[in-house]
Amino acid sequence: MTSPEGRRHRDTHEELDAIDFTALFAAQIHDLKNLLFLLLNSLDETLNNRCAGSEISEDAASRLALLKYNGQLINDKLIQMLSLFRFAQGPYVIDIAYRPVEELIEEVVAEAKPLLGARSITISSDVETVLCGFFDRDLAAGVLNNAIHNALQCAKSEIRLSACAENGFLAIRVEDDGDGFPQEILDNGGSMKSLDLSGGKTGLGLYFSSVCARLHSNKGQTGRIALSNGGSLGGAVFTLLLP
Amino acid sequence: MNAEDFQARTSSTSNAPINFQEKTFLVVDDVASMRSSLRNTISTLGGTRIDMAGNGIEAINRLEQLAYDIILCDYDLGGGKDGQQLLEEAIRRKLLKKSTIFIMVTAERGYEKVVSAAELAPDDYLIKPFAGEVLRLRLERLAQKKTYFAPVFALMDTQDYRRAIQVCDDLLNSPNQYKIDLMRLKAEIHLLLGDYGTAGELYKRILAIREVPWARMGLAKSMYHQNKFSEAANLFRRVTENTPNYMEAYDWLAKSYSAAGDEQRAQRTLMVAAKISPRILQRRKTLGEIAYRNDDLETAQDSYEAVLKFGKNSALTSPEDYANLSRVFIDQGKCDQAMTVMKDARKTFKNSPESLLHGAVMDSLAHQKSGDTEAATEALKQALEQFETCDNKQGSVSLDIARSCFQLGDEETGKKVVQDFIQNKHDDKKIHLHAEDMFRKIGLRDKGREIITNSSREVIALNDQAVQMAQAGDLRGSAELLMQAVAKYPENTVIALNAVHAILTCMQTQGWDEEWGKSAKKTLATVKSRDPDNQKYLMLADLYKEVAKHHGLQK
Repeated sequence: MTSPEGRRHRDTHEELDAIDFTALFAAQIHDLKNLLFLLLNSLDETLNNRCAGSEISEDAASRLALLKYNGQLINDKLIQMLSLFRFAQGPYVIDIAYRPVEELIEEVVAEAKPLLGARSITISSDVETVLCGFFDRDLAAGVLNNAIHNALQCAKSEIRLSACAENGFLAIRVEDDGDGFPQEILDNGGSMKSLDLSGGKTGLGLYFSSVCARLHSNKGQTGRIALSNGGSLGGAVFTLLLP
Repeated sequence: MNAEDFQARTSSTSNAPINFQEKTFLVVDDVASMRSSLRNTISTLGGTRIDMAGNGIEAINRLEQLAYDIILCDYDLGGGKDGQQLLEEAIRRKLLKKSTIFIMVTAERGYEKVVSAAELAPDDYLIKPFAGEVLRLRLERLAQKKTYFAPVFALMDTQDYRRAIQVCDDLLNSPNQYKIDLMRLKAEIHLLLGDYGTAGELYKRILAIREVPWARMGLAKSMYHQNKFSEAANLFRRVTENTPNYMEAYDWLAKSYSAAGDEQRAQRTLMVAAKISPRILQRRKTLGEIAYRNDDLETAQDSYEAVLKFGKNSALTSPEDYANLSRVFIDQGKCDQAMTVMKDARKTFKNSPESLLHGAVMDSLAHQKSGDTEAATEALKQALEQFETCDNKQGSVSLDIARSCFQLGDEETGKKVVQDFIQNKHDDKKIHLHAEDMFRKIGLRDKGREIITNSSREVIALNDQAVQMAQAGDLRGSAELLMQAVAKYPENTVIALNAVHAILTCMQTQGWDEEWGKSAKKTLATVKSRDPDNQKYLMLADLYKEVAKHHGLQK
């Protein structure tokens, strides 16, 4: 290993060794989110210009919506990775405040609407306007966005969000009229077992959701997610349960 | 009250639409493409009056020109000020309207880590990327919330705390989404009024519903103010353990340890906090002071250097901060560095009287340390001349002057300076501690104690005499005696407030007196300019209004 190439190789290796990759990745994710913000905003702008009368065909518009949807999926992944990284670094403190649930639902629905594009899917929400609860707004929104984006992939014509108080828990549901969760996800969804890093789908979203739910605790009770099929629309039912 | 009540119904939360076309916006971001992107988002809501700023200085310039309705500010502004520092400066300089909505924009949740515990928090924060529609929803709700709380804040602004509490109670009577906020606000007002028992009870009620860190903080503060320091310390410690990013809890934990006499633990607590968030200047100053008293010169130097380094871009440093570092250098025998620091101070503050005063006295101490008595005497002479004429001689400068006098053999002047210093704050334990420490460091511990005790004893005796007169029924005599004391110790806040209290008590029973009313009002104004958050001041300002009203006077 005394040839110049060998030495150069070793130097590069030492140099790379010195990099703190966990910190580097976190910082890069941070930058990626900034770039995504610019990307999604210019997409919005293009979509809005269309409404204002400029010429974009229906076809182009629905392709833009699809582009935006995929952008949102990237953002979901980044949020999940960055959050799990922060949780792991610890100590991680969540910001639990008393808030109207309707506000949260309104926001995630507003985020989801532009993603529909030309698809004939309706998103409706059914929340008692007066329901309030204790939760971390950003974590809850991250979980619900993920659930909605999953539902968008499976739904045939409808997605429904609902929230209610149930046995001392705040229950927020995302239901669709698709084919429902496969048995394997019903069995393992949200657990470490579902994290299959070799397969195409990692199950990271559900795992992230279940970690976020567990971070909410109150008087000995801990939050969780529940997955089932059926529900009011006959498809998949994702439930976030917060104490 | 149980948890179920709080997952229950509130009045409707439907939003009132805002006419964004009427609103003035300020967008602060260091990245040009980000600014124009935010501008576009605002345009889609219908906003047209949008100004931009690329850094903190530009933003402050804008704010000096116009009180904006809505401010969107990125937390990370490149070099210089960050978004939080900008917000703090804007609030301190009163550049924001009560109705201004300030939203911090960030790429990551981590921002809260820095800020969730900051006293001066933005109205809300948004994480990028966000949809224009979400911004609209947020702005509408924030406007609604501001309107809802406006009557309470208006009363608090005029220091009409009793009525502010009444309004909170009225609002709490009808169920609503702000229930917890209202209970919190009400508890905070009770703390302000010095009604610690009631405040503590309110916090306990909130904690029975949910373990929220700010409620535990509130309960701990109420304990601290009732002098239950070890109970307070236990509660504050619990907050730091459960929520390690709640920085204010470390400050109070250290305060509680100090109050209980455990300066070593206080220092360790602040060192932990300084490690988590290194840029908070006030905490670093306090750490410097405690470390200096604990003879840990290395930590003291570190802390004071950090204050100067991080304070560079803000108006938050004073010549005293330079003197603090210079003093550490002198004790370490680094006399050249000590004088260089003061040279910097004079340059930074453009030879202001305060910087000249601090500069002269530190130079004198540095010359003494390096054995140049002649130069030291000359510098002290200058310092004393400045000391006579300088209006703004807060803080440690008196003790530095006294130290220089004692070391150069002018005991008489030294003693006089300490006496004035102590008598103007005779019941401030921290001041006593500082003074005792100075004497200990120059090897005059016992003599120092005697001077300190005698100085405060004089004021205490006068105060006691007034109390006895009042107890014996001579309210008028008591008030007169205290007003004389105010003339003798013009900077003593405790005496000033006791005098006002005596006057008001006297007028409550014996009727309004024009002259006394004026003196009380003037004295209150003096205290307010010195110490606007003083709790007894707030209580008396309230009482003043009550007495005036009782006698049919509006103001």
